[in-house]
Amino acid sequence: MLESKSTVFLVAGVGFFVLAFVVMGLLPWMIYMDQEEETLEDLVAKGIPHEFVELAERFPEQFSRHFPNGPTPSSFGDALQLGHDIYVAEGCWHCHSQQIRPVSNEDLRWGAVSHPSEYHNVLQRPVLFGTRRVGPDLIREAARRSNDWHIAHFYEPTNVVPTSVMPNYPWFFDEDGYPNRKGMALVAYIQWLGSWLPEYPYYQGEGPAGARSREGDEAALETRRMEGS
Amino acid sequence: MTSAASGALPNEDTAIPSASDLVIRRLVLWHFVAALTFVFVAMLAGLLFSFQLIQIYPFPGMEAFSPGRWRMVHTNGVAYGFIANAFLGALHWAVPRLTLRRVLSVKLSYFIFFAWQGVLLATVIGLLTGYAQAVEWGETPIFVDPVALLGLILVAINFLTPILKAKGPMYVTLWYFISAFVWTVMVYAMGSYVPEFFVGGTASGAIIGLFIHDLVGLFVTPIGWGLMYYFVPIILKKPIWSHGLSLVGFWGLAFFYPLNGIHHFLYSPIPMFLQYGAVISTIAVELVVTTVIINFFGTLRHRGDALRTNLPIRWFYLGMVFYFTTCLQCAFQVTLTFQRIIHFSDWVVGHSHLVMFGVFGFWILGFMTYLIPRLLNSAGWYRPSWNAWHFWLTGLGMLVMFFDLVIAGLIQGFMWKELAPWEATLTASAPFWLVRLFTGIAIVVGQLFFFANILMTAIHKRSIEPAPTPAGGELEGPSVVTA
Amino acid sequence: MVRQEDNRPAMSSPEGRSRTKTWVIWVVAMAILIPAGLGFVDKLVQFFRTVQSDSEGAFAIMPILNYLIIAAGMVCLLVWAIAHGMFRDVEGPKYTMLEREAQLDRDDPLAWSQQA
Repeated sequence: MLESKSTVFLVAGVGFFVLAFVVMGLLPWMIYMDQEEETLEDLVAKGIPHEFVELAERFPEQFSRHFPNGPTPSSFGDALQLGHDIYVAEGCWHCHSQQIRPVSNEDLRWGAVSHPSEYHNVLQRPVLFGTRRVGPDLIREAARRSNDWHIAHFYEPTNVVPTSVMPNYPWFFDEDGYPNRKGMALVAYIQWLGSWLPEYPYYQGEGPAGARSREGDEAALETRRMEGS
Repeated sequence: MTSAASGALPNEDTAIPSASDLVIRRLVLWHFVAALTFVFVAMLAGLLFSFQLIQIYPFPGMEAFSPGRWRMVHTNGVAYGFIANAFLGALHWAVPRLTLRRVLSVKLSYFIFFAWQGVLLATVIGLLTGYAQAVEWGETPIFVDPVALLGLILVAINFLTPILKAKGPMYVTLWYFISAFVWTVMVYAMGSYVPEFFVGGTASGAIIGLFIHDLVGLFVTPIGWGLMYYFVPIILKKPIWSHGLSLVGFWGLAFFYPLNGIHHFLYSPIPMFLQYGAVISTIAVELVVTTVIINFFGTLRHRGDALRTNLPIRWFYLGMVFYFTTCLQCAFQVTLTFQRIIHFSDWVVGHSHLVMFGVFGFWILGFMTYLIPRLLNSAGWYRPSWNAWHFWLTGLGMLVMFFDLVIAGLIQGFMWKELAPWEATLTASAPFWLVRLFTGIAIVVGQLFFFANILMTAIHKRSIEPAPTPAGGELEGPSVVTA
Repeated sequence: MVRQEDNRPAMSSPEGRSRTKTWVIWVVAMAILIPAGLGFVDKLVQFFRTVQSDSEGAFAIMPILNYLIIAAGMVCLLVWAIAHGMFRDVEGPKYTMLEREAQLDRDDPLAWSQQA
C-alpha cells in the first residue's frame, strides 16, 4: 500500500499538504476569525491624519486638481487605496518592512511592538510584513517626518539622505515638480502608517484633524488590548 | 562491473520502445533555451538592482527601469522562467525514459511550452507596468494567475498519465514527481488566491510564509531531488546507494517540509505557539536532509574520481554540498536566537541565493551540460574548456557572494540591535554590496561562456567517433573535462 | 526480477576494522551522545516545568502534541506495512531503472555516457 502510486498521490501529495495548510494556515485564521476586517471606511472614520490636511494647505491648486473634494474622508480613502497600490506595485515592500518585532531593540528605534489587530484591514490584504529591510521599517512612520521631507525624498533620496540607496521616483511628480496624484497618495499612505497609535499626535505636538485627545487615545489603546487578548 | 545491459526486462511489454520515440528532443531543447534566456534576463535584473545598491544606477528615474520593479523580474524570472522551464525540459527527458511511456499528448506538450512562455512574458510586462501582487515570489499579476494555474494543471496531467500507467515498483524519482505535480498546483493556487481574496491581515502572513516556503520546498526541491536521483546514477552507471533510504528521505520531506511555513515570520504578530511548531519541524527537516546527503555521497563512494573527470557530476555534487550548507544554516537561523539578529538582513538574501541558484541552478546547469550536445546531435561540446570556465566562474562567484552576504547580514543585524543610525548601517553595507556586484558579474560572465559554447556546438557539430575508448583510458566525451 | 548478482554492491567485511578503530568510534560516539543526551533531558525537564507552572505554558504543548500524534500514526502505518511484507523488494527499482536506461541508450550513438 505504501508503495502504490495512489498512496503517494493522496497521502504525500494531497494529505500532507492539507495538513500543513490546516496547521500553518487555517489555525491562525481561525484564531483571528472573530475579529472583523476593517474596511476602508472604517479606517478613514478613525480620523484623517493631520498630514493629509497639510498636503491640501501646502499645494492648494494641485491638491484640488487631484482630489476635487478637498481633504475630506472620501478623498482620504481614495488616497489611501491608491497609495497602498503604488506601494505594492513599486515593490516598496521588498525593502521596507511593516512590523515591529519585540526583539533587537526595535521598539526603541521605531515604537510600539506590532499587534495583530493592527493588520486586520483591507490595506493589509495580503499583509505587508516584509522580509527585508534595506530601508527602515515603515509601520510607525506617521508624522515622524514632514510631508516636505517625504516629497523631496521621493524626488531624489540622496538629496535628503546622502547614503540612501533608494531609487528616484520622478513619476510621482508633475512637470512643474509638484507631487502628482500618485505622489500625494503615497505620501498620505506613508503618513497614515501608525497614525492609529496613541503616541502618534505627540510626535509633533498637535493632533490629527479629527478630534482626538490623549485621554481618548489611551482609552482606545486599552480597548484594543482588551479586544486583542 | 556496472554493465547491466544483458539482463532481459521482466514483466514488461517485452519490447523496449526506442528512445527517439519516447522523448520529444526538440521540446527538451526549446525548454532549455527558454530557461537560459530567462535566467539571463533575471541575472541582468539582479545586476541592475545591485548597481542601485551602490548608488550608480544606469537608468535613474525611468519608470520602466525602476529597480524595485526589476527586483520582482529577478525573483520571478528565476523561479518561473529559469527553474520551471529547465525542469519542464528535464521532465520531458526523464519521465518517458523512466516509465517507458510517452507523455499524454505531444500536442499538449507544445501547447504548454508556448503557453508558459506567454505567461512569463505577461508576468514580466505586468510587473514592469505596475501590476504586482503583494505576495513575495508570487508577484505574478492577478490576471495572469488563472492562466499559470491552468498551465500547471495541464503539466501535471501530461506527466502523471505515463507515471500512473507504468507497471512495477516505482523508482524514487517518480515518487518525488507525483507529489511535486500535486503540490505545485496547490501551492500556486494557495499563494495566489488565499491571501488576496480569502484571508487578510496577520493570518495572510501565515499563508504567505507557507507559500514562499512551499514554492521552494514542494515545487523546486522534489523535482530537483527527483532529477538528481535520476541523473546521478545514470551518469555514474551505478545504482543509488540505498533506495530504501531515499524513500525515507521522500516521506520525511513530504511530511515535515510543508509544516515550516511560519518560520519566515518569527516574532511577527502570528501566534507564538505556531511559530514554535514551525521551528521544531524545520529542525526535523534537517535530519531528513542528512539522510539524502548520506545516500548521494554513499553512491559516489569508490567513484570520487568522477568529480575530477565528469563535469555534470561536479555540478551536481557542488550543488549538494551547497544544499547541505543551506540546510545546516537553516537549522540555526530558524531558531529564535538567530532570528533576533539576522531577520530582515542580507543573511537571508545570501541564504536564498545559495538555495535557488547555488543548489537548484547548479543542478540545472549540470544536466544541461550533460544533455545539450546530445540534443543538438553533436558528439561533444565545441570547447569543453569553456564549460570549465563556466563552472569555475559561476561556482566561485556564488561562493563569494554567499559569504559576502552572510557577513553583511551579521553586521547589519548587530548594528540594528545596537541602535546605530540607519545611515550608518548603509555605509557599513556598502563595501559588501560592491563585492556582491562583482560576484554577480562573474556569474553572468560564466553564463556567457556557456551560451557561446552552446551556440558554437550547434554550429559546429562534432561527428560521432566510431569506436569509443574503453573505460580506464583517457576519457573522450563531451561531458568530460580533462584536467 | 532477473538480475545479475554482480550488480549488488559488495558488502564491506567487518574483519578489516581494527581494535583502535572500534575504540575511536566508541569514544567519539560517547563524546557526542552524552552531552546531547544531558541537554535533551535538561530541556525535557524545563518543558514539563513550563507546562505545569504557567497556565499559558500549556499552550506550548499543542503543536508538539500535534506532531507527536501524527508521527505516531505514521509509525503505525509503517509497522503495519512492514508486517504485511510491503517492503520485500525496496531496492529493486534502482536496478530496473539502470537496466532500462542502458537499453534505451543502446541504439543511440550519441549516448556517450555508455563509456563512463
